[in-house]
Amino acid sequence: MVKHFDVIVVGAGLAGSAAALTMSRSGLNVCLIERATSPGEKNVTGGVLYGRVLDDLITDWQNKAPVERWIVKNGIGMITSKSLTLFQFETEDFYNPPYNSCTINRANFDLWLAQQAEEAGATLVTNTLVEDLIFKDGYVKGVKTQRPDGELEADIVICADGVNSLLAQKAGLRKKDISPHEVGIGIKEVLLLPIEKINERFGLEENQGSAYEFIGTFLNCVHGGAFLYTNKKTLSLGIVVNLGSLQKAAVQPSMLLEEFKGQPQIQKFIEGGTLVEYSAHMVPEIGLEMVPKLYGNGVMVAGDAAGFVVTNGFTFEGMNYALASGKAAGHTAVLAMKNGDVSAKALAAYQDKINESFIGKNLETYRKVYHVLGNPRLRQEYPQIIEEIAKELFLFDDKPRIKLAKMVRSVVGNKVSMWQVIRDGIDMWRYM
Amino acid sequence: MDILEKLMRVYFISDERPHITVNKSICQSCSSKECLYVCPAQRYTMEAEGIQFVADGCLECGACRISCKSGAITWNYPRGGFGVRFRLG
Ligand SMILES: Cc1cc2nc3c(=O)[nH]c(=O)nc-3n(C[C@H](O)[C@H](O)[C@H](O)COP(=O)(O)OP(=O)(O)OC[C@H]3O[C@@H](n4cnc5c(N)ncnc54)[C@H](O)[C@@H]3O)c2cc1C
Ligand code: SF4
Ligand code: SF4
Repeated sequence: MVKHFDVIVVGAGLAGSAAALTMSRSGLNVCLIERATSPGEKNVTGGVLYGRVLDDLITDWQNKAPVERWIVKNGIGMITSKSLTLFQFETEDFYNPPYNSCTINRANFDLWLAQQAEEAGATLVTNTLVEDLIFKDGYVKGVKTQRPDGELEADIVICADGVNSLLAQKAGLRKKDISPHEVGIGIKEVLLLPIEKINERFGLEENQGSAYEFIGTFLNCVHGGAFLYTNKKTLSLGIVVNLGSLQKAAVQPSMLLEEFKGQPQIQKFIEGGTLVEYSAHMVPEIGLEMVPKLYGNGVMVAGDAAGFVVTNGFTFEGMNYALASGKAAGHTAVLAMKNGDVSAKALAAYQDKINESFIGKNLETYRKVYHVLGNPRLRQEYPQIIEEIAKELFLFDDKPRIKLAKMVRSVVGNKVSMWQVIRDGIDMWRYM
Repeated sequence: MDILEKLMRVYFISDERPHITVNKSICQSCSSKECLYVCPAQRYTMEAEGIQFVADGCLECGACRISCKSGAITWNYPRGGFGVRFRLG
C-alpha cells in the first residue's frame, strides 16, 4: 500500500525545513524528502543569515543554532587593480543579542533545522531524489521517488527544491525554465585561518564577525560582485556573477574568482589561508519577474524554487526569504487541511501571505534593481572614479588643492560624461 | 591553484551511472559552446576530437543545463545519496 501523508515537502533546505517544522508543530503528518545524505550537504550560500525570521519559529534559537559568528561590521568595497575604497558600517546596536545577522555554513545549519522539524514529528527521508509528481483529477496527489515502490501520497506537496526548481515546472507553476540572464552563478572558497589571525585582520573579538561585499574592475565588465565573510575558523569568499553576462563575455567564473583573490587589498585579508572547500550554486537574481505561480491544486512552491531572492546590488538575501516563505506555505497548509480544502482557491491564501509580508513588499521595492546592476560603468568607470577622488582627498603633495566639487567634476568628466552620471544616478535613486 | 586541485578538496560519492550526458554529435554544429564558460568545475573541455564531458566532479549547480540551447545535454540530479557532499557549504 502506498504511504499517505498530510503534506510532503520536497527539499530539506531552509524553505523546506521551515515549512515542515511549522506544519508538524500544528499536528500535521509531514514527510520531508531530501536527495542528500544529510540535509545541507548539497547547498551553498555566501553565508550571511538575517535570522530574525526564526524568532517566532524556534524560541531562543540564537543560543541553540550552529552559528559561526554574529555580524557586527558590514562593508561595501570598490576595487581597482591598486586600491580598495571601503564604506564600512559598525554600530554598538549589533554588539549584543538579539543579533541582526550571522554567518552560517549550510551543512551544519540545515541539518540542525531539519532535526527541529523531525523533533516536532516530521518524517525526514534522506538519500531520496523526487523525480516527479503524481497527479489525480487535476490535483497534485504525491511524489514519485527513485526508490523501489517509491510512490508517496499526500494531500499537499510543497516544492522547496531550490533554484533549478524542476518540480515547480512539473507542477505547471513555472511555465518556462529559468534562463541564464535571470540567475547568478556563485562560486565560493572556504579558507582555513587561525582564529587570532581572523580577529586581528578584521578587527573582531571572540564571536564577532564581519561581512564585506565588493565590486570593481576585477569583474571584467561581467555583472556581479564578490563577498568576503568571516566564520569561526575560516573565511568564506566568492563571487556571484550573472550567468547571461558571463556567457556574453565568454569568461570562466573560476577565472574571475582568481582575479578577485589576486587583488592586493584582498590578499591582505586572505593571505596564508588554506583552501578547505570549493563549491558552486546558482541563485535567482531578477526578483519579481521570475517568480512563478505560487500555488495550484494541492501544491505550493517556496524559497529559491519560487525565485524569492532580493538583491540591492551588493548583498543577496535568500535564506531569510526561504525561511519566511516556508513558514507561510506551512501555515497555509495547516489551515487548508483544517478546512478540508486543498484546492488552488484555498491555497491562494499563500499568495496573500507572501504579498503582505516583507517578501512581497521587498520584491516589489527592488523590482527593477537588476536593470541598474546591468550597468557596466558600475564595475569599471565608477570604481576608478572613486579611487581617484579618494586619492585627491587623502594624498598630500605640494600641488595647490582644488575645491572638492571642482575636483570631482574633473575626475568624473575624464571618464564618463556628466549627463551619463546624472542618468545613472537617477536610475540608482529610483530602483536601488 | 587549478580547478582539479580545488575539486580535490570536495567530497564526492561517484555513481557509475553519470547523471548528466552530452550528445556530442549535436556539439559538432554548435558555435557558441556556452558549456565551456559557465561550468564552475570545468567539466566541459575542448579536445582535438571535440567537446569532452566528465560527470565526476560536477558540483550540481545546473548552469550547463540552462546554458546549452541546442538540447545536447540531458541533465538530472544524481540518484539520491550520490554526487557532491559539501562539508560546509
Ligand atoms: C554564492 C551564493 C551566495 C549567497 N549568499 C547569500 C547570503 O549571504 N545571504 C542570504 O540570505 N542568501 C544568500 N544566497 C541565497 C541563498 O543561499 C538561497 O536563497 C537559499 O539557500 C535558498 O534556500 P532554499 O531552501 O530555498 O533552497 P536550497 O537551499 O537550494 O534547498 C533546496 C533543497 O532541496 C533539495 N532538492 C532539490 N531537488 C530535490 C529533489 N528532486 N528531491 C529531493 N530533494 C531535492 C536540495 O538537495 C536542497 O537540500 C546566496 C546564494 C549563493 C549561490
Ligand atoms: S553548449 Fe551545448 S551543444 Fe554547445 S558544445 Fe556545449 S553542450 Fe554541446
Ligand atoms: S551542473 Fe554545474 S558543475 Fe555540473 S557540469 Fe553542469 S555547470 Fe558544471
